[in-house]
Amino acid sequence: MFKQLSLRRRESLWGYVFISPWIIGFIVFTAGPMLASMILSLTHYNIAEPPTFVGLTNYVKLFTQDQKFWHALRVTMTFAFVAIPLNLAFGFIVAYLLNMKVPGVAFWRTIYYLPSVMPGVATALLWGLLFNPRVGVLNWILSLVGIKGPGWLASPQWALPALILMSLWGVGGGMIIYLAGLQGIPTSLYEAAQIDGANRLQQLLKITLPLMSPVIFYNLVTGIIGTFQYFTDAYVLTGGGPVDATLFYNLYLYKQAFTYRNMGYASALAWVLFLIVLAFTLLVFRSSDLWVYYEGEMRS
Amino acid sequence: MTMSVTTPKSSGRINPRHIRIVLSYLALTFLAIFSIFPFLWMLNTTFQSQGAVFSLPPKLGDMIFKPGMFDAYKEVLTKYNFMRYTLNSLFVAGMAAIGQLITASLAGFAFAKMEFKGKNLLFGILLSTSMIPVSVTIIPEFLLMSKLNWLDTYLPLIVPSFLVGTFGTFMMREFFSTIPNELVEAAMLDGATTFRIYRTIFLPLSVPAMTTLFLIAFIHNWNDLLRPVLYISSSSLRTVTVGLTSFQGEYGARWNLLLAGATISILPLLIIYIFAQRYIVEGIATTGLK
Repeated sequence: MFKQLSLRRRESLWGYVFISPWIIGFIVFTAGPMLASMILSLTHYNIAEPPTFVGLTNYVKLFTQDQKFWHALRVTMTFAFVAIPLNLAFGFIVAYLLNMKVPGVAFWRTIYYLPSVMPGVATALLWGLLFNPRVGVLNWILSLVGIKGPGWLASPQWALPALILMSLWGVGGGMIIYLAGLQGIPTSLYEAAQIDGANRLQQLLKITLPLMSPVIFYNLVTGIIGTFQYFTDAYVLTGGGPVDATLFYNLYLYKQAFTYRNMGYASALAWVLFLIVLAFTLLVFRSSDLWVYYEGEMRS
Repeated sequence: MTMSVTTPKSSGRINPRHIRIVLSYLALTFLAIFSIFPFLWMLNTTFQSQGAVFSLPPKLGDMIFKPGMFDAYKEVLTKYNFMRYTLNSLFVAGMAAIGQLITASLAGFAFAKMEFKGKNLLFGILLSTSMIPVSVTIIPEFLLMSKLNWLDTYLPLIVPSFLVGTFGTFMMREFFSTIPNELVEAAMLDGATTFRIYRTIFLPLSVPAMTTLFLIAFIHNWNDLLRPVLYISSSSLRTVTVGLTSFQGEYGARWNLLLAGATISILPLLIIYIFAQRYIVEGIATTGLK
């Protein structure tokens, strides 16, 4: 009897043993820090002196007095509302083209995905040089067609658009996931549609897009989370400038925490960031009932 | 989309299908140029002498096939320590990726093949942690690392990777789930312990999945900037991303050197990508990790 009981128990115990490294990691590097940052956000803390409890002061200051907070939020939102849809659309178009059974899919796929694998620092530097207003290749190309290129990263008006353009270089990341989704759509659906006389546009709108909506949805959610974590390009290229034109939320948070050492205030920024991301994600999840199609729903 | 049903119209007129193919090739080629051109320009610039780096229109590197062709590389590797940075990055990214493998394959196996109380809840927690921005946890993490006296060591770059690994765990769970349960049951009837089953049956089967995970984790850690910038202050401990950032700060106008450094930071990943791109692309496509 002892033996029989122990079989289940033993497996249970082994289960906990197997996941224990992850559990420890979760407590020490995720759950613990989240709790700690919530507590820190209620304090003044500059590392040199012990933290002092200040209640909600940081949050009040953030929402009512901190112009830079609102500015950073605006920069990040602008980027999100322009770059995310562009990336979603371009990634989808590239994947759609690749899925047209063109010969050498693997070859094209390799090329398009290449920029996404490369270190963000190296690609940022590279684009920084291409964007150089005086001796950069981009403005030289523009000058060939008679356009005087803008100052790009050196110009308060053009720095953010330049970063958005750069982000398009990474469409390969979303494209790969779309392509996997497209390849999973049964060809029988298209064959049936063609027999019924549906043209390509109708097939795209009635078959491809609905079946791809969960993938689009996934890319949208990860896009939102990614945008709020946007750091490398701005840190390397602009440091938030010129005149704060590219002061992304995450960069502002980084500066508050590690340049000015306002750990309490930066923690409040971090929690507000978390709540914003959470709110957006929930909003997208809620709205997904309206536009995301899951195969299981067909029956009901 | 599939062409299998469209019967080509037999008349000699221009076939719309051909137009479509030509157009999509044009679009694909244009996009390929957009993807590749910056790399080619970068490579070419590393073969320019300092006097020629700013030349417009861009021309072929004036040092190509000349005795000093690789001078820019030599200079950054030796004089500006990129050899050291590259080795540092290899070590850090390699260790962090190995750590991921251990944690993720153990936890992935447990989530896929074992029964224990709270499994589903824990798995839900695991998935939701991928939604938490690093910025929310990085400040306490930094304070913890400084309390532990780990600043300016590689521990903060390696230990969190050892223990977290949300995507890795998810990926390994997906993989282990595809292995039939009968294998486990048969082995259990033979009296094998759980760990033995994991080690002798599942680990050998998961070599391709583990390779994929190792490469993805390696690339991810190689490319990281935030943590190395925060934790590393000695120049001899810099990873290649930090080395590159600070080189830009000091010698930003020396484009040939800067881009030689960038090329060096890209090279290991390019090699991995060329030889293992199928693993990487499939791993990313199936788990959704970008």
